[in-house]
Amino acid sequence: MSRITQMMLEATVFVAAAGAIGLGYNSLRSDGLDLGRNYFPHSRVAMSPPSTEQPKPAGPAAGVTSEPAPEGDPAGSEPGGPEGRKAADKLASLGLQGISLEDAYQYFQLRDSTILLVDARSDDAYREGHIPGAVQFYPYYPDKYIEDIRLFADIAQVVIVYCGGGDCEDSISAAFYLTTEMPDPIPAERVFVFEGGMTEWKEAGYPLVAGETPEGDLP
Amino acid sequence: MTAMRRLNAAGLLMLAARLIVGLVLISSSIHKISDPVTFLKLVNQYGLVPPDWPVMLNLIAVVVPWLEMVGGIALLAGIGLSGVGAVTFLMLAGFTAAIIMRTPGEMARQGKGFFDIAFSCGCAGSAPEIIWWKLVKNTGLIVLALLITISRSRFLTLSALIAWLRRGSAAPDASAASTKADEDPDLAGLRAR
Repeated sequence: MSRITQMMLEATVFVAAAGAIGLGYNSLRSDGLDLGRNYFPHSRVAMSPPSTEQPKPAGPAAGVTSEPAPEGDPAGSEPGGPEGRKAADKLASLGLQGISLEDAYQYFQLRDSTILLVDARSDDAYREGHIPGAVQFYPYYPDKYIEDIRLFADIAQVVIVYCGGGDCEDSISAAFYLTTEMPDPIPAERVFVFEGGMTEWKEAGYPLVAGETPEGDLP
Repeated sequence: MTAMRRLNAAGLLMLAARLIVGLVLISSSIHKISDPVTFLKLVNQYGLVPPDWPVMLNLIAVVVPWLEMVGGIALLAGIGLSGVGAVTFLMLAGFTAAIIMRTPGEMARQGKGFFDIAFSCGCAGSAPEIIWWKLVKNTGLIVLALLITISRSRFLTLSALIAWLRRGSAAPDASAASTKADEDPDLAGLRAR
């Protein structure tokens, strides 16, 4: 057998063995990937040419009656200059809208049952610290979290979704799932993506709780 | 140059290359295997797989970490070195090309120069890495993977041990050395001198 033939044979056996082990392990683990699922459906939508006429969503304060609504239109806030505008354009192409730190904090202070905060980060990140009252929804395992969301989604008039901030797109994935893929989806005009996320929230010194439940459960 | 040739002839260069590349591959794979979603997100950030091909993206996230893990173990054990070395070479070249292609976009996005740029490349963990240093390290690993692919040395490998067990005589090192002398022109040349 020539060296080239032997090398090709070894490479084929190696790739086949690693592939078989990888696929086998993935099918056995509880948090394995669903090979047929598109985990980033919003990527495809976001790559489509933007519509010249975006539907203007209704203000988030509609239906919130127990407390005065925060002033201004959260969807109109585009902090961060060109980057902020780019982010807002991306959200708009997905039929979503952004919300600034200040507006998110004002809604948080209302502590109203019609306002739902959704933490789109992983279990570890959520456990380490989240916004008090925020319900976890990690969009890559929707079946695991959807029941918790369902409990609040029907009465929520404003749904604010956040993740880590910075490059994190889990909040967009979660918001896209809640407004399009979920059975009986939440109307998009009620869902706001807080792109500053935990980074901005922490920097502002706003409250956090640790634990596995919305109000925190660790000593 | 002569010292390098002697090292290579004795199998030490190949052994060092196997240890370095093997350990790097294994350590890189552990985080990816333990958290497939994070690796999937990092792969997606490269934008190399069209959004209409989610299965391809998912397969990469599932199989690549195991190529690294199994490849690393094979290199440490000394099994199928030419083939594993060739696949490792291609993987590393592919990863490096992907990082190079992504870098200009990240430089523009972050507003930083080449030597200041850092991003999560999905190489080992999800922490941002200094890219110029990552490219230097990858280049070194590519050279070592190429060495593993073309070298005929089988010093301290499972293959040499099996060969020795089959023969049932002589020490494995001596057996491996004699095998090398038969196969490795460098070593044969040195011995002749």
